[in-house]
Amino acid sequence: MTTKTMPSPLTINISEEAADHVRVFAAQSGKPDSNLRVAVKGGGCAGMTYVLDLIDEPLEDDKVIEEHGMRLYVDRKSYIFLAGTILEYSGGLNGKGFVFNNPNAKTTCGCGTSFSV
Amino acid sequence: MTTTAAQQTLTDRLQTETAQFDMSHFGRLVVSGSDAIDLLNRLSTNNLELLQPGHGMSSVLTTNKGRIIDLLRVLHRGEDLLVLTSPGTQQKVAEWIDFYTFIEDVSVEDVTDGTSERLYTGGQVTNLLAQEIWLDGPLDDNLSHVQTGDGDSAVTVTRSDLGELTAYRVIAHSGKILPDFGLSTLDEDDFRILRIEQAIAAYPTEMNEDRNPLEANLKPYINFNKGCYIGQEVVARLNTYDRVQRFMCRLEFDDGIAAEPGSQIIVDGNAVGEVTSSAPSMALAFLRKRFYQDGGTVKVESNGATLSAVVRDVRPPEDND
Repeated sequence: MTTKTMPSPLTINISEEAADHVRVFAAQSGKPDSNLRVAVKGGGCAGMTYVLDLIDEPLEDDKVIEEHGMRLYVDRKSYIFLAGTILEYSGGLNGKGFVFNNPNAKTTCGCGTSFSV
Repeated sequence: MTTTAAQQTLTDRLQTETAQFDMSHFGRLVVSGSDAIDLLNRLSTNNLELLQPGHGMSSVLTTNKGRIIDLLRVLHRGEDLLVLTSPGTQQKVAEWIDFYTFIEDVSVEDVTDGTSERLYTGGQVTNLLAQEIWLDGPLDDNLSHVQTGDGDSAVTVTRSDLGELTAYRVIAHSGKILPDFGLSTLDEDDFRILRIEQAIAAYPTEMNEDRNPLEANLKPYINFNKGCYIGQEVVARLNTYDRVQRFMCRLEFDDGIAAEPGSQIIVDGNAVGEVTSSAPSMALAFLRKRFYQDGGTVKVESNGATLSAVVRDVRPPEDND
């Protein structure tokens, strides 16, 4: 059964399905004990793009969020552009992989990988 | 140094004369850190990933709507990037870069006030700079550069042609006033005249957040194969679907007549363009594509008078159809 994560404006959530896929990718990458670091970086058509990385320990000043048995490390400066985001996984034939449902994003580019605030 | 189109253009005179222009009021930023090129590449139109030490590249900083923030001249100095901006835009550019610096190793230092800069141009400029031991020989590529001297004498010399005119910009890192070598001095009016003669867009008259790089004839500084940068989707769509509605042109008037910036270009009673920079006998203007024809005649309404002007196509060669 998949539980639907409800959004919270002051944190970042990861859906259970997305957390499961992170664990699968971590195992496939030979880093089964790693966790997910989330950040944004400048660029992409709309202005900012998402960055996902598997790392063992948070970087200095990272915000740490625990959910579904997984730790999310969030870059501090990126956090203000990600607060309220739900990280989900879209599978199937039309799936896109990890999807950021970000309430701060006013516009996104055509391919959906970048956003502006 | 002044001239009129009817006698001899400033460009004509500088085929043989050599002159200098104090550019210290232009902006200069030092962008450093291991991610400096990667970040600027993600924020601007040209493929800065191709940049090699000793070389430079012009690249347009654009908004997510594909509008112009500024045209940057990026010099790769090995250990850092020296970014030359338009006058007065350096703070805005630095803040833009800083805003988009999240996880990157990038720092921006505004060195405008602590440095000085002078442009040397004209027929004998390369020989002149060689005599002053700033150059061993001509720099072949625009924005290629050398660093020479130590301490108070340390300078960066970069080739920075003004259209067809060979020109070099020299930046003194100590802020020491650079010599004029007794050359003719170009003042702000002369520089504007040269710009108009050579059809070079400037901030904020031709380059601003109401304009996209294609209509300001900045296409040579756009790489359409580099992938994403801020504003890329809009700029690519404008180009692919031929959606640019107007282009910068040069207008030529009868001897000595000048149209005020902001004057409307009128065809069949309708406003079809606007003058943005003006000099005696000529102007830069934006003109709707439908009426953009080299040698065509238009009317310009300026200060209550109706002036006749000839349109000159100054678009980059590949747009010049």
